[in-house]
Amino acid sequence: MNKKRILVVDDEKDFVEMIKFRLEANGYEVMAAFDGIQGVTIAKKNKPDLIILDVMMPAGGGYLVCERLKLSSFTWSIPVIFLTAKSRPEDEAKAYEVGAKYYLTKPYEPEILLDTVKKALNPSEEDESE
Amino acid sequence: MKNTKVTSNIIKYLDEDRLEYLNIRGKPLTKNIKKTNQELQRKLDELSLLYESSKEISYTLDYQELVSIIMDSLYKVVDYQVCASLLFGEEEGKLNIRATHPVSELFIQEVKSKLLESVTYITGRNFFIEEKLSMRIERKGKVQSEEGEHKEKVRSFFNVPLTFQDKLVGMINVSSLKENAFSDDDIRIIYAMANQASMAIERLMTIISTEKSKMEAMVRSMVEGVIMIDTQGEVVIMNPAAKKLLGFNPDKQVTSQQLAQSFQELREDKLFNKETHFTEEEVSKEIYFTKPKPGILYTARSLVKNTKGEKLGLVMTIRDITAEKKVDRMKTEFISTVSHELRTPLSITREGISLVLDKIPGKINKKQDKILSMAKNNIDRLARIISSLLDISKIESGKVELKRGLVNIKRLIEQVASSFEPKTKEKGLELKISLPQEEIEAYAEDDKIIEVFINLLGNALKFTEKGYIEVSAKELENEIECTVKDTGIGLATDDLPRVFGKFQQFGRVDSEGEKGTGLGLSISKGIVEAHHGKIWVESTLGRGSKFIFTLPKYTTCKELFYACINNGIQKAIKMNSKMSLITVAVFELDQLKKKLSQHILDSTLKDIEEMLRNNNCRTGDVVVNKNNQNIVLLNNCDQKNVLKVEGRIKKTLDGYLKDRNLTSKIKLGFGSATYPDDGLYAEKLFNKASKGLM
Amino acid sequence: MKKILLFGQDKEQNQVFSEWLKGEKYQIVTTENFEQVFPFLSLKKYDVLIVDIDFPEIMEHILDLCRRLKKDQKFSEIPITVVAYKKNNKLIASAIEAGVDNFILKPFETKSFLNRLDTIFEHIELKSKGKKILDLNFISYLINLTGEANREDFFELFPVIFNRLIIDKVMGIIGKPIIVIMLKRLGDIIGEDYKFVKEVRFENGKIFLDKVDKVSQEVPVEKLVIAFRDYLHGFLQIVLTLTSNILMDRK
Repeated sequence: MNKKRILVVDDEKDFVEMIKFRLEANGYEVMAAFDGIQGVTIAKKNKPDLIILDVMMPAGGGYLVCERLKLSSFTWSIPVIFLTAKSRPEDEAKAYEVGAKYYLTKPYEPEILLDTVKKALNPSEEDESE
Repeated sequence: MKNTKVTSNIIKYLDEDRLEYLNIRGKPLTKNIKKTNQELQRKLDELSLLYESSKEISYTLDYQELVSIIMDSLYKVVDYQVCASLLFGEEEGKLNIRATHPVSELFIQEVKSKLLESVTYITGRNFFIEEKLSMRIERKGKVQSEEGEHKEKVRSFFNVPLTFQDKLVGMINVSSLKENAFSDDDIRIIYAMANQASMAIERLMTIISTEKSKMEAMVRSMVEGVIMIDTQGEVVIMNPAAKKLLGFNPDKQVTSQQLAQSFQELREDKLFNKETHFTEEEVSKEIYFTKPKPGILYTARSLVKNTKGEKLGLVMTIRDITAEKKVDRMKTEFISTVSHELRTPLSITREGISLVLDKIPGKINKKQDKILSMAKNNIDRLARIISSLLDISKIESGKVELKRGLVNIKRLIEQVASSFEPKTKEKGLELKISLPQEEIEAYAEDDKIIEVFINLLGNALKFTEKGYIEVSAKELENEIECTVKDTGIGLATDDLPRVFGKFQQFGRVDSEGEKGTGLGLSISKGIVEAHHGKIWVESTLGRGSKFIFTLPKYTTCKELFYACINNGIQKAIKMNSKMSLITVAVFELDQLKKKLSQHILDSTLKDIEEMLRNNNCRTGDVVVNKNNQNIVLLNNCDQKNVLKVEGRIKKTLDGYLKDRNLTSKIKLGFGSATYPDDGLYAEKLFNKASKGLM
Repeated sequence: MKKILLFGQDKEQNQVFSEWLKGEKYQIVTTENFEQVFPFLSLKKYDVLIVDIDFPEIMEHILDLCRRLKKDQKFSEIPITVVAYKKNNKLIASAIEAGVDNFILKPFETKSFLNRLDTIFEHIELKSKGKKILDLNFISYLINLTGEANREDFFELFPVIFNRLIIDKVMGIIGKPIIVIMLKRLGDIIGEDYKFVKEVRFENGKIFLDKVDKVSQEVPVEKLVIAFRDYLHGFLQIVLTLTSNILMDRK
């Protein structure tokens, strides 16, 4: 069975390192992008199975990136998890508006992150919510 | 090590100065404005009262009293058969004829005619044909028969004028069948009486007018703009500050049309004109304007009523809060940015430590494990501090929006207490719960109230070594009172006032376990006050503490629902959007109690409530349930959409009943209403949505 | 029998009067001596005092006497009738000021003299019954007189007529405040056609026409008379609606 490929888009290199560690230890293949443009480009080229997206980034914040991903026929079907320090309900609502599947805040509980990743990659186990 | 550097950076960031900066730099804007506006409101109330009294003491009103008194005293002084009074104002007149002896109709007509003739001559207004003349005739004794009529002539009479500031406002007539019934002295006395009374009223008006001038001078000099319009939309008061803020020349009069136009330009036509309907509460709104420079005005608008409760007009205060808003925005952005900046390195550090603890890069020995565990705990503590800071700053700037519903306080307390059981037992303390028999329900956000209890219980636990902790709640006349009492170390009297302040920690913390942030009580206070409640502490050093907080109570279903609906209306007004509500009720609850078992009935009602909550996927929408009635408040929802949602709910609930074979037994009623289309007050909206229910 | 005391410097004139008044109705005592008037009055009770005032030398004394009599409670009720030449407007004005109640103006015929006297006694009768009399007939006559006068005379005579013969009589009954309002109203109504009427001043219970004079320099005196006659009638009309105690004799 092929490993599932996850694209992490975040301008904090250290952060990407850590999360890469965590995800790879759980059997995922991890790609990284450090700004919005890079993120969209890599996503379009490599078609990952999941994208984990930060909000505060140069060259297109997370919302913009998500919008663009959802508008492109290459990438619209890829589930997106927002992982950001912004924790206000408006921020979360906006994320869903631009098409995110899940929204997590930093700092994250490793178990919760892994759980959410699993859920995002296996949608059949989840009920469709409105 | 890289991590230590990061951690120490974070700690540096959080030193006292920076934290003070966070909270002082942007003073709690809305709270301040609220307080100033309360004072303003008081001043305005005084002004409205004066305006009201000067209107009330229009000459017709007080002269009524006067005329009654005169007519009564006349009887003692003068011998007459009929006396009559005519009082008139700009628009209408009141004619009152009092016959103290039986006289013929003809006599009365002659009296009337003499009275009206005199007034007509003097004022030039033809009172014989004035339509707005209301008449009242009092008679003693029967009407004289026709035969004696030719004898019934007004043989003597005199008319006493009532004047006010050199204007005629009324006339009293005294008539007699007898010749020369009234001597010059008689007449002189009565004229003197009337004059004295007129003078007294004029003096009163002078006093009122002086007071009014003083108030007007004060309003003129106010920094805030004040505008008052009467029920016709005419501008009653508009001080220079208001004129300036709305772009007018402060030295010129502003007409009601000009005022309406300026509100139109601000795209707030309906905010402040004679047709403006409004809830009973004060409505505040921020208006954006673009000239001369873009900015924001803070407006607060309320009703002016007289003592009878009749509407006299509207009053509005305006303030330019552009600068304050900017600071507020900066502060919010600052907090947001800072917390974000803090969280990123925090999460990296945490994950780093977690990874090593989870042995992912390799095995670790016991000592390493211990050290890293401590580090991880402290990272978590940091995270908590940051969250608390965010909370506190949200609460202080009034940005916290409560999601209120009906909360069962008893259940909530039991819930929280049970979670504290193990720890209390561990410390060898007794955990007592003292609750009354009846249910206690409050209109509150359950999570937030839980947070308050957790905070108070946490503190009690921390500071008590022996004895007990007692949690209780009781329902008082106007509120619900909750108490957390302990037999711990207590607080010194000097410390009592500071206990709800930020970053205050008192007493040594001997026990292990979570160290506090020093913000818990401050946050609890913010939460309780956001619910319009009060929180305070009673304590003596060495003898334990008692923390008490209150929550307002809503006794009836209606009160509760109206409060919710009003909240919704306020929000809608603030956001310039529509709001809808849906009611879902179970019919004939009493009958059902007989038909179904208590258990099934309860669980059905609960399920219905649950489904209504789950149906709402939008934040800000609220479901409130009491007994067999539920209301669903939908923000930003117009008539079309509410019908859609109602349909959806109906479908879901019908399906549910069908599944349980309850369709025949339980009947549900639905209704909806939209603000402002269906009404502008909670009562009206609720009635419309409840049509067909109950 | 009505007792009349008549003073006149012309003995012959007095005799003529006595002849006229001989009869059942009146008892008349005449004197040519001014010094005797007061003592006569003190001794006996007279119903009327008639004074022929057409003697410029003693005119002032006579007026002074009238004033004194009016001030003295014992004599203030005795109506004083003055016989004077009708063209003497200034005299008439002064007499009215002094408090004189009635006039019989020369030249006159016997009949009119007697009629006048009858009227005067009628008024006395009514007055004793408590009614106040406004001798409208007489007032109109006086007003007409002023019409034949020049400006100066008009401005002297009219206010006096209005103040003493009308306002003084009604003030006691209807009071100042209402008079203020009434005069304003008249000013508005009559002032529509005659603007100068609006300048009437009312102060201390009297009207003053000084301002009216100023603004009506171009207006002929006939017009002034018409305007103020209307003014006066208007005032009286309103007064009538206010009380039944004032009688206006229009005969």
